[in-house]
Amino acid sequence: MSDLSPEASKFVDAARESFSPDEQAIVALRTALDARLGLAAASGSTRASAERSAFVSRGLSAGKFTKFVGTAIALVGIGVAAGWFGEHTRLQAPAPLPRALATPHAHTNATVAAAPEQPATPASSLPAPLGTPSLAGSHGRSQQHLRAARTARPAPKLATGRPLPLLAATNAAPHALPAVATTASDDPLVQELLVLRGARAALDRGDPARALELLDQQDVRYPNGVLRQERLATRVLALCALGHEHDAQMTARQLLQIAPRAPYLARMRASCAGEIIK
Amino acid sequence: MATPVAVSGIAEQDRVHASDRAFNPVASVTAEDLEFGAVYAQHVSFVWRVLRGMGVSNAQVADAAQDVFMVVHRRLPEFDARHPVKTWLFAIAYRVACKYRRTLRRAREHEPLDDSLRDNAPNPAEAAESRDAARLMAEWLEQLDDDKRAVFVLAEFEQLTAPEISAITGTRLSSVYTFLRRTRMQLSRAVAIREKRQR
Repeated sequence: MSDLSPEASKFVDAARESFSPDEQAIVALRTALDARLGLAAASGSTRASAERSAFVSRGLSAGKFTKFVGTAIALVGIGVAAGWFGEHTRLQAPAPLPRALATPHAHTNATVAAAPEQPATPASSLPAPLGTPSLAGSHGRSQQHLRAARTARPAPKLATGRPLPLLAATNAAPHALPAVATTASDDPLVQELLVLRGARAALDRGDPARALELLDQQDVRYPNGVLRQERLATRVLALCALGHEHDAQMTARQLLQIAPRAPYLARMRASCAGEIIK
Repeated sequence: MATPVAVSGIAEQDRVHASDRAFNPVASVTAEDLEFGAVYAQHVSFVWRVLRGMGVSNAQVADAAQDVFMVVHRRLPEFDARHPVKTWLFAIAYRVACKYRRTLRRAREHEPLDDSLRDNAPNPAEAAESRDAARLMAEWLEQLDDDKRAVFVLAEFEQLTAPEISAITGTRLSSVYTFLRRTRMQLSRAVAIREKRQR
């Protein structure tokens, strides 16, 4: 298989970098998604049936589910929190893996199954697992740049189900020179996730002090990080484990302020900060 | 067991879950990793580049990415963790990109200029080079059929192997190799011609 010429390879690298989102765009997109999902649920979205069955099967009652969907503002709560604050329930529902793109042109003319308020097309064929999903696309940014980007977190508000407009400045920043080959660990989002998991692992093994230490580090590095809500929730549990009830309740209040309807709050009712979460 | 990813500030014991599940985003994905926050964190750049590579303009890519992750959020509880999440994400992003391109074709005259022409890179010369590359790449990709385009994007932007691309796109492996060979030759030739003109 022929390779690209060196000039073409450089050209591709530059284009690839330009086609990638910068950190600010990633955070802004997440914020917009939070708001959009929250609004969609608050307006009585009718697309809840699939989620209802899936989440009911994961142990939530229908009543709690309604609240859950209505409070989907904390997306990572569904993510990291549901896995950890919950019972580590495996996602083994029937596979809806979309059909492989054997006839891509057919999709062009078909109804767009992936449109925002329509169900995705169920799987018709399941490709074999690849084994090693690559994160070769992850690209690093300097921590300085990250902090600057993360502090400018917009709060888009729209009362429709349409995509929330993001700030113009959040679009991908062009970077001319080809990105130096980076690893997944260079990706700030992955790092944030890894540190959070480290804190939870510490808590799981009965070392809440270490969990707090890691959370403190993460707060410094990612003060407005994508996983801030999850950090606060983990901090509440760590403080409870240390017997610092007052601090736990203060942290729970902080969490309630930024994510008043976070789905994992129900789980936290059983903690020492439970009385804050009504 | 997968090798934990080295992250500054995390002690070795903190990298391993109590249940001995090391988290390595480069290795196979666990069910827990297929929670929304993790999927978003690990794959938002992939989705973004696929959307751009499949023809969504820079002005619309944020909206398109929102659409993708709305679908992901809705469908994730039903996703079978035994299958590669990238395959699933690519399929969603592909369809969303098709939708945006159709919309774009219908209202081409109202399309704002691609704002990749912003100038906020540290070095103006680099910025100009990058803007140029993005614009030319978008134009060049526009000439490709969708299947060739998808193969090229996954190979050159995501550095996936031919078998991986075949699994993700459903394109036959032999066709993946053929597409890659041709598109690489075409691009190399186009870049050479461009450079010759610039001299």
